[in-house]
Amino acid sequence: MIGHTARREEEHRRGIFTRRAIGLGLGQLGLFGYLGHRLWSIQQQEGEKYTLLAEENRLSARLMSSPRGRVLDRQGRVVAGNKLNWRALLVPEQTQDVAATLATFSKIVPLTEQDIARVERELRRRRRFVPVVLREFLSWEEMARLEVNAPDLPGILTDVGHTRVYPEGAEMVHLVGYVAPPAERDMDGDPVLALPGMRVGRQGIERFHEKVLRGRAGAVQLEVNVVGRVIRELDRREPLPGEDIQISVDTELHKKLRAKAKEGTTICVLDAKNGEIVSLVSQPSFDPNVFTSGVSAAQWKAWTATRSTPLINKATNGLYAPGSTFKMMVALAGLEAKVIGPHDRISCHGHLDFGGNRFHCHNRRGHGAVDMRVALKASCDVYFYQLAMRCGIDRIAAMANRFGLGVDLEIDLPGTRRGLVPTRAWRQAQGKPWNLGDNIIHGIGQGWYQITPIALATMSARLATGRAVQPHLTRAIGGKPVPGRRPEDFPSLNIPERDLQLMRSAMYGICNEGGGTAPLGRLPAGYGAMAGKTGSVQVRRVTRAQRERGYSAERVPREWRPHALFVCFAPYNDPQYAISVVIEHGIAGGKYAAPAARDAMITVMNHFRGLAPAGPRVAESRAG
Amino acid sequence: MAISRTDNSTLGRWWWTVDRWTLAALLALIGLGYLMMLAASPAVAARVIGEGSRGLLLAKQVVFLVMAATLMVVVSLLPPASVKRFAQLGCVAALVLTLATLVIGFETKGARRWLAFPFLGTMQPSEFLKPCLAVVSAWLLAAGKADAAARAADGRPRGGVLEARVLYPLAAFALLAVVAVILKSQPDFGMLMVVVSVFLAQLFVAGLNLILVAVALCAGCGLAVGAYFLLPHVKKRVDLFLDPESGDAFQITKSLQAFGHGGFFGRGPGEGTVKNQLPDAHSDFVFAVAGEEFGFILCAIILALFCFVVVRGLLRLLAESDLFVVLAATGLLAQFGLQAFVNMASSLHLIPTKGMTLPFVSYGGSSVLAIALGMGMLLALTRRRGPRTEMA
Repeated sequence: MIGHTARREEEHRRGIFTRRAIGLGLGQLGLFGYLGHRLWSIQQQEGEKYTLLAEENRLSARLMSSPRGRVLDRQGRVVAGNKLNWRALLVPEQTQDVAATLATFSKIVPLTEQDIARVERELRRRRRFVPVVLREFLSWEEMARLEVNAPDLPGILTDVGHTRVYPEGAEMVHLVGYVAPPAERDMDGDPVLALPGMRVGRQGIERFHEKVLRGRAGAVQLEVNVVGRVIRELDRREPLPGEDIQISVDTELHKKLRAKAKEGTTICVLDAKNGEIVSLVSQPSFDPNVFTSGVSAAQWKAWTATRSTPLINKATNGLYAPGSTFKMMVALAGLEAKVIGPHDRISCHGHLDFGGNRFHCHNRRGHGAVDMRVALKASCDVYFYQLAMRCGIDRIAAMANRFGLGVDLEIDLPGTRRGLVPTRAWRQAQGKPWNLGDNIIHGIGQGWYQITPIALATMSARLATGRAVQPHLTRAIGGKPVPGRRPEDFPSLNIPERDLQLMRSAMYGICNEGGGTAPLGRLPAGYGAMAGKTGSVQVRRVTRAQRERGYSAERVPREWRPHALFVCFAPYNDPQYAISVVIEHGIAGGKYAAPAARDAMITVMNHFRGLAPAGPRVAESRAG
Repeated sequence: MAISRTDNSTLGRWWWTVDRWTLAALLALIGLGYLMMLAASPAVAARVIGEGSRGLLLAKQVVFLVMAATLMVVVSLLPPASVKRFAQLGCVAALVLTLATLVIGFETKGARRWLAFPFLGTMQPSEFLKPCLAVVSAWLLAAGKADAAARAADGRPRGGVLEARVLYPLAAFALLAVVAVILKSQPDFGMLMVVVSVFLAQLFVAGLNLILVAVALCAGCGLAVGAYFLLPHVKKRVDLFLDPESGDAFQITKSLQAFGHGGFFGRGPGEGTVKNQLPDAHSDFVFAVAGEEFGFILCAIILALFCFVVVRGLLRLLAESDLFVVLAATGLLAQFGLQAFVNMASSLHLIPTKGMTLPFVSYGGSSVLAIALGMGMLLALTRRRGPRTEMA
């Protein structure tokens, strides 16, 4: 009986074991099943999400800057190139004792106090495997000494980068521009700009063709560990070097022209037929190579404080009243408006009285009754006072615009000023009426006009060809010539040939006939004839008192003297070159600007006489 | 292995009576332990101890794994009575050493759990205490039950507190209380949780009144809630689990990225990259390394191996009539399964991170050897015995 109970109890107990062990097992099974489900959902269903996160974290893309494209002159000479920059670097973690290594290093290659301070600052800031630059621009000899002593210099590396170099220095800077570290406004979304040592173009071709010259940065995808150390390279895209730009200026010719140009002088030489800028001299200038190593405060002050503004390219950014060089515009406007015929005469008594004011002619005795050709030749002011009154400013302005004055010439020199040719609407926008009397002064190129020297040269080229020639500097990009630059590619100005010929003839007379204002503009035999127009622009009103005492521009202080201007083209029979010369405070166009232009024309012609007429196009000869 | 069924040597008898499937699963886990060390050690070596010492790290763990396999097999040769004796001695020794950690142990990460031995390196005695305690508790509980059953069979009256049926279980509770106090002092709440859970599992299987089981569960929950409010670091971990944005969830984020990065087939051996950034990739988060390099496939295999060992072990107990064996095996299996679950669930962000190793797979000498000891005892207890042993 008792045994039976015990057995039943025993069975009951075993039943409990069994049930509970099974329960425990099922419980465990459930937990592990849950784990399995979780694994599946993370690794399969959400795998992509986590993978992306993982990829981002372990990959680090490093950019490699590409060598900047060069700028070549008309003959293929380098005017902006790259110089190898040998540098010495220190990797702190590769040396036992940084101080000792630095001490040994400075015995071989001297370090300045500033260098050491900078290095110590960077050492504190950077991780121990990031190289720190010790010295840049090492000489070959210094490099050799470092290499020889390498065993004593643990942690010292040498490498080579590129630095922009301008072999012609100040000669070409106004055309080529220069490079500088990128500023906030230069950030155009290209990540390569963030690289240390990166430079972007400032001014000139360097700026205009920035994207082409920069090329495309290469990239290395690196696997990095949690502290950023490179573990291995996963992918590499080689940088695409920037393309070379060829400009139309011939360095040798340009230097010759510059050598003769005094301070404050601007000479623009265009190929009259195709608009190529043959030379663009703006004196004085500055050496862009200084920017590579940094500009001292004193130097900067010297550049910016002086009146002669070396940093500014006056050919494209200097604004002047065109003076008498503008008279062709007034004449053509009058002819087109039929307010005057070529042979209609206007009498000049030396002045014009209007509205209580007396407007003087530069010839106090007057020119008598003059027709258009004579008026231009003698630069009779009264003729043009009268003509401007007949014509009205708007017709004059429209004509000037067709010749490239006061409009955007789309020159490949960034920052080129558009200038200003006033109109009625312009004046009214200022809230003032355009008075009839305002026409008078604007008839002789004085007043509110603001014209750049390159626009004057453009006007001259357009007078010579009758086509809307566009000035430009770029000949070829990456060896491919820029299209659309043949003479016939430029549209006609739609000015009757008869009218144009009258202008050219008058300009011929100015340089080559008696009674012309620029006898000094006559070319010697064998160069063909030059046609030009003088201009002298007052920068300060000449008072009646001065006039009565016998005013002479030569005797007033320099900054009060008039600017001297001259525009011309040559040879007269087949115009090849158009030139504008502006000499700030140069007194008189005929006396000073005309001979400067003549000399420039001779220099240009001499230079190209030995060479092919327009100089070889590098790319064309290559392609041919 | 060619061993005749009639081979009567110790080894021969062992071979024919041991649970060869479980043994195979455990050896497979040890092999995976080696594989995962190969995968995780470069990252750990590079980050923590210097690249040159990867070889040393590997060699140490290989030695431990071989020792573990040997220890497991040797212990599994013991008959149940010897296992009991072995566990009693081991329990006393481990208890003394664990107590010693409070005095002479060195501190890492704010806890004193480790003892340093000259030439032998460091060990964590509480790891060894864990399996021994499970076996000893099983013995005490079983002895109490056996006494009660014997009294019932003999018709002796019940009553009196000094009888074995009361004293033995009380001793088990007392022992647990002592261990709990020591572990709390170290502090090592993870270990404490495992020990208590294992004891509860044993009580459950021993036939504890279900009402009491419910009470115990509630008490456990109460303790957990209490720990959350009373212990700052527990609170921090739980908060981080509930809202990973609240703090530095770098480790768990990396762990999940590693799993996701691996996908179904994994990145391939040595191709893992997240592992390089994953703290504790070789120990608490080794499962994530497996997930990244070998994908869902290997993770599922590891999961299946653990599950197999636990479930098969419990199923085999259904045929077992010796209460001591049932309880001891239950305790060892519960401990093994719980530890594996906590580790894997931590790295999968299912529970707050709790520093617990993945048995055999994670790096660590004490852990591997202690698990081997426990599994050796399990194998010894679950060996098929002849009728001779039944109700001896």
